[in-house]
Amino acid sequence: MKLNELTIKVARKQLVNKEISSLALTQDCLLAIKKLDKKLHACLLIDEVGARRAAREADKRIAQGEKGSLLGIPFLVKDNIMTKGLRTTAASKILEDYVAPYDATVITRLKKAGAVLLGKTNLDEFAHGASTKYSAFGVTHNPWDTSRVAGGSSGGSAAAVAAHLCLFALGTDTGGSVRHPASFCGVVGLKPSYGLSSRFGLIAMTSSTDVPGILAKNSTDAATVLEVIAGRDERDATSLETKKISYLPQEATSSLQGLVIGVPKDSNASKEVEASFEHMKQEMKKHGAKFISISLPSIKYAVAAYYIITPSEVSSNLARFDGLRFGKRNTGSKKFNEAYEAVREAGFGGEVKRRIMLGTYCLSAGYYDAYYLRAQKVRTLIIDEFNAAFKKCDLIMTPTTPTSAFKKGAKKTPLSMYLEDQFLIPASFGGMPAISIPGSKKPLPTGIQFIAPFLEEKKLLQVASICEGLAIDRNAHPNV
Amino acid sequence: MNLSKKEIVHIAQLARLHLTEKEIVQYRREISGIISYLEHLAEINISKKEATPSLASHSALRRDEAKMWIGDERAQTVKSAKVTKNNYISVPRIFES
Repeated sequence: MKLNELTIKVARKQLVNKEISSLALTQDCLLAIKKLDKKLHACLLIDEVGARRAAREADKRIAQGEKGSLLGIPFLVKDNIMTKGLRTTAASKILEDYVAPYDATVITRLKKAGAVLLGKTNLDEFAHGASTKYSAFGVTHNPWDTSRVAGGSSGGSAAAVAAHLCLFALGTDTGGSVRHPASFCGVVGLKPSYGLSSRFGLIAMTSSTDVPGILAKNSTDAATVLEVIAGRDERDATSLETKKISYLPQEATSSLQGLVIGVPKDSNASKEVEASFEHMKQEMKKHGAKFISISLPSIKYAVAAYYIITPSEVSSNLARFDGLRFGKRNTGSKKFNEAYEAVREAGFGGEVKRRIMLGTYCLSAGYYDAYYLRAQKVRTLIIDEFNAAFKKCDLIMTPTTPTSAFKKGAKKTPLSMYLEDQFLIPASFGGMPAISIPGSKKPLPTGIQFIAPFLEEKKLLQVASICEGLAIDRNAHPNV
Repeated sequence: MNLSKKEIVHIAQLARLHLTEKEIVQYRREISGIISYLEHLAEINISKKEATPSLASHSALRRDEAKMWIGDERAQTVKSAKVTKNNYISVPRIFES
């Protein structure tokens, strides 16, 4: 087994026992990236020099007896998260030569913990999408079948974890962007509660639902990363003052006794997705879980509400890309508005322009009440229905995506792409934590999503950890 | 809902996006299609519901205190602008004489 194939937990043990060094672990990741990323295009930038320097630094700290949970562990980061001194593009031409002047808080915390930053991963431009097909720098290919997409928008991070290019990766999740590609690539994707982890240094998309998220090889690893990145940050006014607790699942137990799982009626998922979902349900029952059917009548309106709220916030958040203070600049025009428009014309891709215009329309005079305000009320309705459901069950379980990974050439209208997120949006609306774990892996992975009440990550990760051991073909790996 | 060409051009103008003739045709079709889907929301009775524009439960207000940037962050930030003069960012004139 090559070192890059290890989980965080096993790598940490070997690092502490001095069986391996962080430098050797990092070299194996860099080698895997060199060898495989030509086929995957998961990465947009690799910082070999910086990674080796950080690995040597971690080895020194380990030699001095330090025992951090991520000390010496190599990771990749979605390219809409600021990384000081490294190009940070959000997969957009408008930022193609932008170098981040500071680190996002999640990056500061990971670096302080001694984790080794390898580089940046691909995404849909500004995280707008569910396939990475909207990246200005080309699509990421799915490690399980390179003729298919990796999902999105954090597709590069998910593909990288699945292909063992790193031990874990960061993504961002606004309406499913961590969970969706996790499902397509057969890895674990955790979206923490809104406010648990700082958004400072995330390139803003939808500020009311954006969160940094984690792509990992299993739930224990995801919990380990969460412990490092969670916690109040004074630079993010929406981050919460929470007690520092351990999120690590107890691995000794496989009992789900006493656990009540709510399953919404009518999932309209594909046959293969339904089959793995049903298999998981049966296995969980054998381990003591009880299932109840829950009614969430308004979730059928979630996609429509989301595609009003998100574009509205996008149209506002992306107004800052004027080409003056950073990013592309038009120096040919002396007039302000001409320069502003020219930069945006050349710098933004089709989906970004579509969302900006859709949001501008929804917020424009005469339409605000009919669209934006109405969507925000529907959001409340959906949150209320979830809160009512959580009075009867501990967790809610759904398929993560309606199908497994689709072909890169599949004809998808913008609207059919939006419907990819139908099971994922409600947790984002309510700020609730949610996780996608593999339900099956072959021939293509399918994902199962668990949603927990606000700030109940510990329970969520405990159940996910048990259930990932019940998945079909759980030990299968992609052969890139 | 079918947006007119005039409406698409107006929206693009508000969004500071310049569209080619081809893009006007394309976005008119796509955005009209999406808006038709969004109109499903009109079916629900939500007159008594409050809106949830934000999940932040606490006040986001804090003292307006200037804080120093760390190390070279300030210099790097100014450097991000393509056109600078004496450590200031130079921008095109907004009001025309």
